[in-house]
Order: sequence, then structure tokens, then C-alpha cells
Amino acid sequence: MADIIWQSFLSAVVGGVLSLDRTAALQIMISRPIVTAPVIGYMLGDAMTGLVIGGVLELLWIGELPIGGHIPPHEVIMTALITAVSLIGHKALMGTGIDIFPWKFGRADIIFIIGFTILIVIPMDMICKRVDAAARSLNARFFNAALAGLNRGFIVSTEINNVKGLGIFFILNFTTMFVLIIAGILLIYFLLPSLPAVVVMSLPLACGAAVILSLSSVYSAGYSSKSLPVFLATTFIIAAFLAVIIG
Amino acid sequence: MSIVLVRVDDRLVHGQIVEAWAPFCRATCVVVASDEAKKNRIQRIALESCTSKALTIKVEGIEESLEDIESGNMNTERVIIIFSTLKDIMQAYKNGFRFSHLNIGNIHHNGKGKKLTPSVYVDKEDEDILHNFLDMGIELDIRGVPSDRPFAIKEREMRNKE
Amino acid sequence: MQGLGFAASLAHAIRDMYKKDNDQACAVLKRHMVFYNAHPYMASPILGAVIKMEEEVKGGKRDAKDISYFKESLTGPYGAIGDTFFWGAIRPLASVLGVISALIWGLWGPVVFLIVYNIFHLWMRWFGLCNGYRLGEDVVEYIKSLELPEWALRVRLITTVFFGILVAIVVFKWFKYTTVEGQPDRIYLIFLMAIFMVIPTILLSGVLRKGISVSLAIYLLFIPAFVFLIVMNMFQRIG
Repeated sequence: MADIIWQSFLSAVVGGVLSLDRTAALQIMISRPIVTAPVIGYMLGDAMTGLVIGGVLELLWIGELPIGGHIPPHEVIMTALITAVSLIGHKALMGTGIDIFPWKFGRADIIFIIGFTILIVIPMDMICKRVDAAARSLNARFFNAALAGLNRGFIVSTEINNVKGLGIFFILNFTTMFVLIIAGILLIYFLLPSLPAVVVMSLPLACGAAVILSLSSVYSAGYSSKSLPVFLATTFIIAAFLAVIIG
Repeated sequence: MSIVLVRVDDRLVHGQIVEAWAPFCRATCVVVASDEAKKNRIQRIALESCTSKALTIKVEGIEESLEDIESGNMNTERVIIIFSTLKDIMQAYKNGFRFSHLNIGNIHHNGKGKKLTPSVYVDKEDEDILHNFLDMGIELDIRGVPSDRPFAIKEREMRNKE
Repeated sequence: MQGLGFAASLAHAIRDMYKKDNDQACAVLKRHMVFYNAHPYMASPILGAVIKMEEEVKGGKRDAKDISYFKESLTGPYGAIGDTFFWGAIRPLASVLGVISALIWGLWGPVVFLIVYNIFHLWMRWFGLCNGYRLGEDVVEYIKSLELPEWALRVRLITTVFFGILVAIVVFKWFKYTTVEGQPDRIYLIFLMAIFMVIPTILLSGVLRKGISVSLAIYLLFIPAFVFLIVMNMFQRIG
């Protein structure tokens, strides 16, 4: 039990640090799913599963840009949640010895948990967006504080308040992640074993939906009049090439 | 020549135009009709650097852009025309520029004046102009991007203000 | 609210400029404490140019109003350029290359993603800042000469090519997994598999371009499949 809370806490700390890169600092893109998920996965002892989750989520949200009034999903928090909840939740469930899966997949049975996690985490995006808006409006306070500092002739007040702004983003994102990770794990622990077998069996479909949608979102993000022939030609030529030369 | 969008926007060319309206209207050319932008070399170059093969940006004075449109130079283009203020578009209207639909994106006035939406503030003169346009049967459409819900100008409310 | 961030980035340079005059430095920074919403990377050339212009103001060669007008008039177009080039073109390219690398070299994928993306990003940060400082307000000529929106179109096409390669690799992995060497007509199978991958990709991308969000689309795909499974299960029990 203490182990689960400790791991959730660590994931939330790492997620919180990486989330600063999203809008508040640097923006070298360590806040993207393809980096965040394997990092959290590595910390929880399964970097490869993290990488698979990260790769799919990276492509899934590739076309969601903060352009023209559109607010994209909070991809860092969402990625941290999906990775941490499924990995920790999987461990927690295995610890109980409850046999919920219709077939024995060995390590691959985590695909059921990931499917379940995707379905429960996506609606949590609403909360994440609220938190982000709250962090931005709190940040406006530091703007006024910095201005007041300058009025008093306190020259470093812009830099100090800028760093305080980072602190607000970290605290809010960390708290959100910690609470939601625990909530997700509780859902896995108590809700998943009580679901009927047919529902559990359908959970990998959610993973399948995410994978196929991730491909189509790349295609639609780069869409132009030349896309179709270019895409078809490369796919078939490279596939044939691989099959003939290597296969 | 077809004008696909007439817009008032004090930020002139920005993300909402290039990424949202241009694909939505399938526009091929954006004409910025602003004397101020035309006069300022730096601003003109900055606006023109948004040009690509898919979308040309032209910065012209108000008079000049009207001449350009009438001359038929751009017959094959689908044009978005942007004015920076309601005063500018009224001037264009007085010089014979006709349109049936007006999109209002951003008018900030530094936060002074009456607030219609978070990005549109109008002063007394602007209100008169909007009122004039409504009387002439021009459709007013206040929204930043096509996917926003249009803000309906309450005609009666504006009249009561008079 | 990037006004604070902009002023904070400027603070060091301003402090250097007005070493002995604290009040003057505060007054200059206060001018920059206004709402400012530019693309984070495209702020670099603007920052460079503003430092140069502030030096000119200090030397009495320029009016301080020029600087705020300069910043305001560049915000819109540079925001659009940054969105189109970095968010709309370079990041998808880096993501696709990262995922391809992850399929081939595993955990090197994220590293490749970060390297590809940050080559362009840091290039703009560094050369943007340097050229901004060197050229002053004429930095707009430099940015125009880069033709970033034009490059964005090219990069998007290149991304589509790499995406084709990505799908081919996925298909090939599937092919290796399900077939054995020497199986008759094995080579035609890969074409069938590619068709099986390509068609839903293209069809669903049409749905996404209609403005349906990806999160909603996951449920829209999952729920019918789920219902289908339940119905099948019921029939099995009755039968």
C-alpha cells in the first residue's frame, strides 16, 4: 500500500517537473508523450511499456495544436496519468492474485489495463484544462507583483516573479497528477475486477482504437493535396522492399 | 475575383487567419488594407513574411487595395481582406467598397470602450458604424475563428444606447 | 501572460546596460510589462532586436515608443509563422522520426525525437537572438528571407513520406510476426496487410479533419465495437 502511494508520488513529481517544459519554461519538448511516458515507465521499472504508450500518444495528439482558439488536451498530465495508472495499477492488481483475465497473456495482459486506463483517463482532461487555466490566472498575479516590485525600484522582481510562476505551475500540476493517479488506481483496483468478463475482453479494443487513430491523426495533420499519392507510394514501395530484401 | 471574407482585426495577420480562416474559406490571398501598415516598412515586411506558395499576403493602403480589387488583377484568387479598424472599413465603404457579410475578430482599444466579447471592444464611433452597417442590412459576425459560436449583436440593445 | 517572461528575459541585458542607474533600468523594464503573446521561439529574434533598440534609446537615437510599436506589430505575424513552422511542421516531423526510431532502436526513439526537434528549435533561439541583436529592427528582413511558411509546406510533405515509411515498418513487423518463410504467396500478403492498414487510416483522418477531437473519436470507435462484442456474446449463449 505504502509502495503504491510512494510510486504514485514519484510519478507525479517527475510528471510535474516535465510539465513545466510545456508552457512555462524551456520548451525543449521533454513534455511530449514520447519522452514523458518512457521516463515515467523507466522509473516504475518498465521503460518499454512506457515507450509503447508514449509512441502511440505522441502520434495521437500530433494534430492538436493551440491554434485559432482550440485548446489541445493537456498531453503531459494525460500521458503521466495513463503510464503511471496502468503500470502501478497492474502491479497492484497482480499483487492481489485476483484472476480477472479471460486468457493468460503473461506480461501482455497489461493491454487490458492500458485499455481501461485510456477510457477512464480521457474524461479527466476536463479537469486538467481547468487546472491549466487556473495556473495561468494565478500567474497573472505574479505579473502584478513584478510590476509593483519595479515601481519600488526592485530590479530583479521580474526574474523572481517569473520563477514563482514556475512554482505555481509545478504545484498545481503535481497535485492534480497525484490525486488523479490515486483515483485511477482505485478504479482499477475496485472497479475492474467486478466488471463482467465480456467487458474486460473488449478493453484491448480501446488500445486498438488509439493505435489506428494515432496513424490517422498523423495523416490528417500533414494533409495536403499531394498527401494521398505520396503516402500510398511510400507505404507500398517500402513495405515491398522490406519484404523482398529482409523478409 | 472573389472576396471570401471581409474582416476587421487590429492584429492584422496572425494565427487565427493563417491557420483557421484561410483553410476554412480555401483562401489563396490575404489583402491587408491598412494605411498604417503600408507606411511602416518593418511591419509590412513582417506581415509579408507569412507568405507561402499556398497563401499570398499583400499589404496595401486602403485606397490601393480597393483599386487592386476593382482592376481585376486578382481574378483567379480567393481573397480575405482585413481592415485594422471599423473606421478604416467605413472609409472603404464610403469609397464604394460593398460587402454583405462582415467578420469582426479583434478590436482591443487597449481595453477601453464598451466590451462586446473578450476580444472586441467598441468606442462611441465604432458603435455608430456598427449601427450603420446593421441598418444597411450587412450581416455582422463577431468571432475569432470559424469554430467559435458567433456573437449576436443585439440590435435593439445598441439602439437603446443611442 | 508572456509579458512577465519577456521582461524577465530582458532584465539581465537591461541591468547590464544601466549599471549605475537602478531607477532608469526599472523604468525601462516597466515599459515591457505589457500583455505579450508571441510564439515562444519567435520571441528570440524580437528579443535580440529589442535589446539593440533599447541601446539606441539609451544613446538618444530612437524614441521608446518605436519599441512597443515594433513588438506589437510583430506579435501577430510571427505568432502565425511560429505556429505553422514549429507546431505545424517541425514537431510532427520529429514525432514521426522519433516513433520510427523507437520501432527500430527502442529507447533511442525519444532521443532521436529530441535531437531532431531541438536542432531547429535551438537554431531559431540562437541565430534569432544573434541576428536580432546584430540587425536591430531589420531582423524582419532576415526572418522573411528564411521563408519559414514555405519550408513548412515542404516539411509537411517530407513528414508524409516518413509517415508512409512508418506504416510500412508497422506492416512489416506484423508480416514477420504472422508468416513464416517459404509460405506460398507470402509476398502478396504484405500488400493485403498494407491495404488493411492504409484504408482505415485514410478514412478516419477524414473524420478527424471534420473537427472531431481525437479523444471523442476513441470512444466513437470503441463503443460500437464493444456493443458488437456484447451482442455476439449474447447470441453465443442463446445458441
